[in-house]
Order: sequence, then C-alpha cells, then structure tokens
Amino acid sequence: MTKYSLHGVTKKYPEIEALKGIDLDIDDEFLGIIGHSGVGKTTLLKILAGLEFPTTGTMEYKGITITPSNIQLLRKTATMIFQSPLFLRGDVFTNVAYGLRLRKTTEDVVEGKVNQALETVRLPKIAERDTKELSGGEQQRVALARALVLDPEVLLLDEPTSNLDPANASIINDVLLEESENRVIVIATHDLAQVIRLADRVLFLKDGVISEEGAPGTVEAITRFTENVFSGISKHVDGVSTINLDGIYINFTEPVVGRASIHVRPQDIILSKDWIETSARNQFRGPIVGVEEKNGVVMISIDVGTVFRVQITRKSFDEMGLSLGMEINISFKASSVILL
Amino acid sequence: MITMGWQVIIGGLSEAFRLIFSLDKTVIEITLRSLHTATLATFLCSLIGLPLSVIITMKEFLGKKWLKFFFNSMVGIPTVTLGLFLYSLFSRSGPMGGLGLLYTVNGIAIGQAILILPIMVTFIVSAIESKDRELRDLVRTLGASEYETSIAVVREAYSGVSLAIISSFNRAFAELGIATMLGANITGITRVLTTAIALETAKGELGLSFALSFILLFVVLALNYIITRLHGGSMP
Repeated sequence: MTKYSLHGVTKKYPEIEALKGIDLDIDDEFLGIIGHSGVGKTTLLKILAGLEFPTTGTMEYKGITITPSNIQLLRKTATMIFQSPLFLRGDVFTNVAYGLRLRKTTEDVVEGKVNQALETVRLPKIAERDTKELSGGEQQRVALARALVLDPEVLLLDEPTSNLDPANASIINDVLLEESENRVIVIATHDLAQVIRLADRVLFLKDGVISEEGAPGTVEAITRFTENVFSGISKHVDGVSTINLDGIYINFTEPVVGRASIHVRPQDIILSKDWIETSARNQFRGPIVGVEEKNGVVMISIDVGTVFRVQITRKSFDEMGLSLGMEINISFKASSVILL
Repeated sequence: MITMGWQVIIGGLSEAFRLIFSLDKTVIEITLRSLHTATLATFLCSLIGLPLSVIITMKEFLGKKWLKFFFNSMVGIPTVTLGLFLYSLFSRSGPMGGLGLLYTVNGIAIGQAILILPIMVTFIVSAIESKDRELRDLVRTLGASEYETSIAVVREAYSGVSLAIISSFNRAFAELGIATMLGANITGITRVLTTAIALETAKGELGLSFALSFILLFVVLALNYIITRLHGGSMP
C-alpha cells in the first residue's frame, strides 16, 4: 500500500534550496536514502516526519494531502530519530515514556511498554539511569526505544549509526531489520553496507533531486557510488587531513578528526605504470586483481592494501596493455576525495 | 564641612539590625510594600512575558527581528523616562487618568511590570534559543502539539527562565524612578524602600537611609540565595 506520495516537493531556506523537486512514492518498505553531505537527506526526512513543510509541491500520506492543519496527525504516525540523540531532563524511563504520556496512556501500560521497548533495543534494566551517563551507543539505542515504544507506522532515521562503534551499530541494524516487518522505515545513511543489508530500495539524492533509485546493488550509479568508499580514523594536521585505512594513508582536504567515511570516484583516479612525479597527494602501487568492461568503459580493481576501483576508457586500457596481476600505480588528488 | 567617616556606614548597619530585630512597624510596612509591588509587577509581567517569549522563539513572523531588537534595546531604559511617560498617561487629565492608577500600589506595579518586560522577554528568549532547535523537533516528532512543545521547551530551559524571572523581580524591587513618579512616596500608601531611602537621604537621615538600604540588599541577596539553592547551584 502506498504510504507517501510526494509531487514536486521543494524546500527553500533563506540561504539554501535544499530540495529542488522530489517526486516519490513510498510503500510498505525499507527505503534507504544515500548521498553526500548537504544534499537534502535530512530535509527530506523532516518533511516526511511532518517537521518541515514543503515550500512548493504536495505530499500525501495514505491518500490525505498534508496541510499545516493536519500535520499533527502525521507527527503522531511518523517518528524521526536524529543523528545525535537528544534527551529531555530526567532518566531513561522518563524519556522513553514521554511520547506515551503525551498520548494520555495510563501509567501501568506505560511501564510495560517502556520496559518492552528497552528490551527490544537490548537494554533492559537501565530505565532508572540518567541519560547523561549512557555511552553514545546506548543513547542512540534509547532514542530508538523512545520511538519504537510509540509503535509508529513510519520510522525515519537520520544517520542513526554514523557516530557509533560497530557493536552498537550492529545492534541497531538488527533491531531495524526486525522492526521493518511492522512498519515503513526510511533511513538516510552514509553506511552503504547498512543500506545493502537492510533496504529494499535505495534513493541516491544529489543536489536536492533524486538522481537514481532502485534495489541496492542494481542501479549503476549507486553501485559506482558504493565503489571506493572507505572508513577509517582521520587526523587533521597543518591543513591536511589523513585517514588511516588499515595502514593505507589517504590525504584529503576537509578538516575532519575522528571516524570518517570517504569516497573517491573511479573516474578521478589516474593509472600509471611507474611512479610519477605529480601534484596528486595520493599515490599507491599494487597488482590488478580484476578487470570488467561495461558500456564501453573498463573498471579495473587494484589491490594496494585495500582494493580501489578505477574507471578508464577501453582505448586507454588497450594502449597501456594492462593485464591481470600486473603491478601498477594509482594516483588521485587530495581534493578528489569526497567526504561522506 | 561635614566629614563622613566609616562610622556613618557602621552606624547605619547597626541601626538596620536594631530596626529589623525590634520589628519596627514602619520599616516592616515599607519592606512588605516593596515586596508586594515587585511581586505583583513580576506576576503581571510573566502573564505577558512568558507566552510572548515562547511565541517569539517558536514562531516565524514578519518583524520578529525588530521585535527582539526592540526588547533588547529597552532592557536598560531609564526608569524615570518610563515613569514620566506613564505619569502623563495615568495622571487625572491623561488618556488613562480615569483608571485611578496614579499614586497607588497597583499603578506602581503596572509601571514596574512594563519596565521589566524587556528584561524578562530578552532573557527567556535567549534561554529558550540556547536549547537546540532539534529539541523542538524531538518533542514534535514524539507527538507533541505546538502547546505541548512550548511547555517542554520552557521546562527544558527552566534554569534560564527562572533566572529571567528573578532578575526581573530584582529590577522591579530595586528601581526608584517609577515608584517616585507614579507613587509620589506617600507615607503609608505608596512609600516603598527605594523612595524612602531617597527621602531620608534628602532629609539628612543617613542612618535610617543606610538601614533601609541594607534591608533592600538583604532581601535581594536572600532571594537569590534561596533560588540558587533551589537550583542546586554552587553556593559558598
């Protein structure tokens, strides 16, 4: 059943036009939204949550056009989880119970539901803890419990695991997979493994429009986008950031400290048979471990410690005389590294 | 030439203790009247100031920036200027003369309420704005109506909001200009601490002036102490 129908939805803020015309139907599904930072993912989620109103265009929920006067109904049906969990004053119980109490649920029902929600996120027996004492991962799981306790028809998540360690992220992914049986879930994320594992369908948002959509792993632009995506710990010294990917150090320009994900477009990487003197800050060497041809371009996989995918034309491939197992250099500029 | 040594201040302090502990009727009456007018003023101001602050922070409307700028600028308005303006409104021949507010405690309280409105609004707005915009989105997405959202936001900004109310009370309690212009310092009717201090000083009764000043200071300090304790803040 179609839950959402968006027609020509735009959203303009005084300083930026975040969405430039979104046409989208969302059924009973697990939908992933991917795209670089600042392409409008959060804005789209907020519109779906009824927290923002489109500047132009319309949105229907279950066939009813959402207007400022009925937006409250949408807010009671769709619950959003934010990138950094935020809490009201008080303990875990008060926070998880907040939405139920707004709905005038009786206290004995509240208690049962809160405990059940905390068990769902694998955090039983923490109801009396102060939210400030929890770790980041526990906080995000409590935020998830606070939404799930309301049994919403739609759960919207804005990069829920981007600041979390793998263990907590994995628990959240497990819970989401279980919960997707009972509700629509829309997740904006940088974690492409997460999308591939969880989502039925993926949108690739670019500059405020949907540029690609389809099942994860089937749409070409999405698979290309998922290539050369790496995560690691980043340092920023003297105006250059360096990210450590299991011993490979990649230089880039955006000032980031801590865990970060980066993407290098396969067409931005230069291949050379020998070490070249170049202004490119990143140069590595390794054997060719895969070659495939698609629509006149050749995708080459090179293992330099981690596997990079490089896109070249058929003509370059022939002229360079490349073959499997051959040692080759790759280089790319620090400014070609896209921070996700 | 009159020499004013330390003994005047020390004398004033001991006079203050004597007047307080002997439960001097006039002093108690004046102090209670000061508390009465400032409390009434703060209450009246809160009735308008609280909802107004919530509207300013939560709603987008034309002229919002100008309204905030206006209240910001009016925080330091000279009390006599406002007093004079209200005097001309409240005086018998003035446009609001029929209300009979001139030379009454209620008149002073209304004047003080207007005086402290900019302080209250400016402080509360900044307290609420210091809370993340995401806080509003959070309570809304959990199903709160606009009214419930404003309650939640004010509650989360609780310490800032109560600080705003206390600061407003202090300003009303310690101001002189409006109490003079609208109250005229009538014995037993509109005489409050600040007007009494001004009068006694003019009369050369420095001892009594000091005594009343110490009472004024003591009340302000005591109130702030209690409030800070209630907040669980750090106190000496």
